[in-house]
Amino acid sequence: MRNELLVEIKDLRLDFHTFDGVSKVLNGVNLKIWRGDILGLVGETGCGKTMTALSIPRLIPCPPGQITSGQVLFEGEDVLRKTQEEIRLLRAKKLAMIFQDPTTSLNPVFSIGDQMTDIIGSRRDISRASRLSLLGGLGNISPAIRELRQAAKERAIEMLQRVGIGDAPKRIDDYPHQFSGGMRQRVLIATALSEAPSLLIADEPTTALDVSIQAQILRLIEELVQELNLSTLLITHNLGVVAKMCQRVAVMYAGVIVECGSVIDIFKNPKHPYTLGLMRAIPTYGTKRGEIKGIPGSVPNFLAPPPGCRFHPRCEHATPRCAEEPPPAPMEIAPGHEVSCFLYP
Amino acid sequence: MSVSVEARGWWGRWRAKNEGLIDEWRRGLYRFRQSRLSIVGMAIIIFLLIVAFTGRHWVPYPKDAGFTTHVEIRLQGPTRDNLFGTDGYGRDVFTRTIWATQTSLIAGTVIVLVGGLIGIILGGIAGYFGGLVNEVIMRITDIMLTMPGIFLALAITAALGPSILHAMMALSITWWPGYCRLVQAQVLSIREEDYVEAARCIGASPRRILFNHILPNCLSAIVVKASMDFGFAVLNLAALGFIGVGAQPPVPEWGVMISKGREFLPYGWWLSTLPGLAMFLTVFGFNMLGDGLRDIFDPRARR
Amino acid sequence: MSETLLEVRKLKKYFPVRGGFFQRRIGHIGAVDGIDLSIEQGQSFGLVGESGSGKTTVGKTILHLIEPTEGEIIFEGQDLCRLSESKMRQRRAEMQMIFQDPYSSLNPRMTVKRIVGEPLVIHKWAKGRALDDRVRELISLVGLMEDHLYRYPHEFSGGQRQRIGIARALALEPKMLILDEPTSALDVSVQAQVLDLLLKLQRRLNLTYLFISHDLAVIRYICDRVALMYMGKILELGSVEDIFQQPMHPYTRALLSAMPVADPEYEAEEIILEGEISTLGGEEGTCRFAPRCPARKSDRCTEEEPVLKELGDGHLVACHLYD
Repeated sequence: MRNELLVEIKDLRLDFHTFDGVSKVLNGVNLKIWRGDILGLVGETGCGKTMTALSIPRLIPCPPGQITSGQVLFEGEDVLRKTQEEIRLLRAKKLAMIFQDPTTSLNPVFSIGDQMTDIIGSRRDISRASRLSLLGGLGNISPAIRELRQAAKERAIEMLQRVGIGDAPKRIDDYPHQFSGGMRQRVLIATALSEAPSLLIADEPTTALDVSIQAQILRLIEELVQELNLSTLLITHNLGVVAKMCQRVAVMYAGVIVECGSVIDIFKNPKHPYTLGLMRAIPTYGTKRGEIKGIPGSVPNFLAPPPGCRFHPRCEHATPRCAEEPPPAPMEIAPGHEVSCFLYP
Repeated sequence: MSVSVEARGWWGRWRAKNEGLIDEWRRGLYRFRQSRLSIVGMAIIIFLLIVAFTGRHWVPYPKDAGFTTHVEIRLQGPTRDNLFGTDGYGRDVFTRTIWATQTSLIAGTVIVLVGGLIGIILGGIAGYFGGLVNEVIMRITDIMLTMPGIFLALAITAALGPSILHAMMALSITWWPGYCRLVQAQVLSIREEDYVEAARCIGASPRRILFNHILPNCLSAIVVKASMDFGFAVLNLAALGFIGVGAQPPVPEWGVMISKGREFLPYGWWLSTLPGLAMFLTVFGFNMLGDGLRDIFDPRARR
Repeated sequence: MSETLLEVRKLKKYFPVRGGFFQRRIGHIGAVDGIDLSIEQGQSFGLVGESGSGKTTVGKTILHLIEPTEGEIIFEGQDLCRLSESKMRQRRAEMQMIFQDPYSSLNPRMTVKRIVGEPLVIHKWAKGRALDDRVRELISLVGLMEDHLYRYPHEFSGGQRQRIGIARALALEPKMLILDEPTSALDVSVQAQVLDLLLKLQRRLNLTYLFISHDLAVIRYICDRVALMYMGKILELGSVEDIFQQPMHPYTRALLSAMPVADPEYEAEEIILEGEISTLGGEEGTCRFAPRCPARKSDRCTEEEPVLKELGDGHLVACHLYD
């Protein structure tokens, strides 16, 4: 099952400079994504999952962000040390990203076809990207560009059909407001996966959608991932989605990955107190009234995080050591199951 | 939180009760400081306020603000005795310019205040109640906005008789449509917010909702507009004075001074130019202040 | 304890669709299209549906925040639709609402003290010292502290803001709370805290809840009875056990299977519905769900509208499969 490592994030630390001070958003993140895997990155709002994901295509705004240490290895090479050219090539050929809100991810004044053609064409030939876009459409005079656009448009129609948008040759000239939420998300998925990237990063792809549409979209993603043999980083705060879609799970709290393992490990055998707390807080079908428990307290302020382990103020197993030393590096307690906590070993 | 609120002294209690406000102010001040122009604007305004409040006490020739004449020194350029020179009657231009500061600032305040108040209330009613009320009020507003303010003010002043008071009244009347429109638009959007619905849910009357919930949240937009309007109000008042329907002689007023000074151009440049500079300074200062305030309020980082 | 507190009969709310040159009324949208339900004192009634189902409109119509087009809303035996505006305002004290978005349900320019105390001020229930004391009581009831009284909403987290909203709603000692997706905008661990608080308050103050949500797991956890809505109509209604263990309507089944369960070993029949409400909504006079229904049996579904029929024990379904 374990082949090669596609992405490895080592001890990534990220600071954000704000009016109130320096916000330590990522505090030593360690993450591994294997080829062919679907990894779920779970955590609550503000824990840093999106920032972690954005570090792979190096999309974190710096300033006000600043990566103070760590490496982000993609196929063995540190993304943080690449040149601008190399990064653009990486984003075009190997990475694809879908975001949470399909409405704001599409430009309302251009047709779907125009936007998809732009992106697909840019992916195919990054050097011509600037001349592809509409305002630079004067470049259309060049036959090479025209060919590129034509090919991209055909591919776009193909992909739209693949994601289940009927009558694609007509619909491709429609505008985003003529599509519903679920269909827009399909368009975005079609665009993202058109050139078979190596890694798909999906940031809460179904959170903004209704339950029944969510099921449709998740199934679509599942099919495409298998068909194109993609690796996926699925970010969500919904543990149900993770249980359904992912093979491996990483649990994040306040800028640190506290536990990671196979989906069975995390759900059936959670070790970290935070993971335990999360599992206990969700009502599932069997829960009786009075059985779910919240985690007391609230997420720490990143400007003045608690010393030592950031979870210790809310942890029922906290010891004095937890308040003094930062938690240990992830320790493998079972094959493939790692925890970062003083309880283990 | 160590000591309970009630146990602290009165200063501690005041600070605790207003902690939120204090924090907001500090943030606002920080952002304000970041824009150099707005600091300049603020400085100008403070300077003008000092001049307006105290000026009449320390001007060199207070009598020159009235009907005096000093024919022997008439039409002299800036000298050590007369910093801004003298006018056609021999009066000290510097004194008169300083004297007029209070007039202009008070007039500006009154115009913006009265016009603003009328506009805010009308706009609030229009936006909140919608329907026919909204249509009627907004059409009247539209009609008023089609007429250049200055002509309307001119007409009113001409009808009532020229005087600075009438000019102020006329300008107040032409001023309210701008606020009405602004507030109506704000109210329309705020009306849909959940907390307004919550207020209805707990049984608040429309008046309460309008004045306690909606209008306070329009405040930032109104303050920004008002601060910039100040300068324009002063300008318009001067324009009316320039035409002759505002302040009447011998009352010193910048517009009148500029107008009267035209006769003597280009030889007597100080008669028009220096009061004109004073006016420029005022309008500029308020504009910069308004800009700075807008930067603070909008977008609000802490929303 | 089993008195009917609220009964809704044939409730309809149509929104006009305007078009044409003079914005004439060219049609209507039936957001709520004939709803009947009854809630007993002390009960938690769940209203489930996706966006566009009309569930939020039902809540707001019951409170008269939106005027119903037709129907009767009988609270403690009195039809609220017949009351004048001022009498309605008095009755408002007995039913309150908790809103979905904790970030917009509190006036950003008012301190917590003013927010929670406002209902008491409006209805003149307390003044001065008495007001202070009552506000303090309410605050501690929801688990907040005295220091919080003088702060502004933006200084609080989502969960805390919801608590403030709950305190405000409880100020007038209502008998019933209508909760419109109170925990949807909150994180999982905070959601658990708030749900816990709601249950405690219900026991302590003998409240009745109308709980509107799209999250079936939460409904199952909190509610006694539940109704499912689709395009303004109730498709199925019954006790929580009945609905979850023996769902009858195809939509209910599909919805239950679509809910992601936090258990990787949970295997369920996957019923994926095609299309979306906006493109495949049923017409008036037919079964609204028919275009998307995986179990559509006959032409009857597109010709006749199914009516809610009782299958036994308070379990009602509106589907031709069970006629």
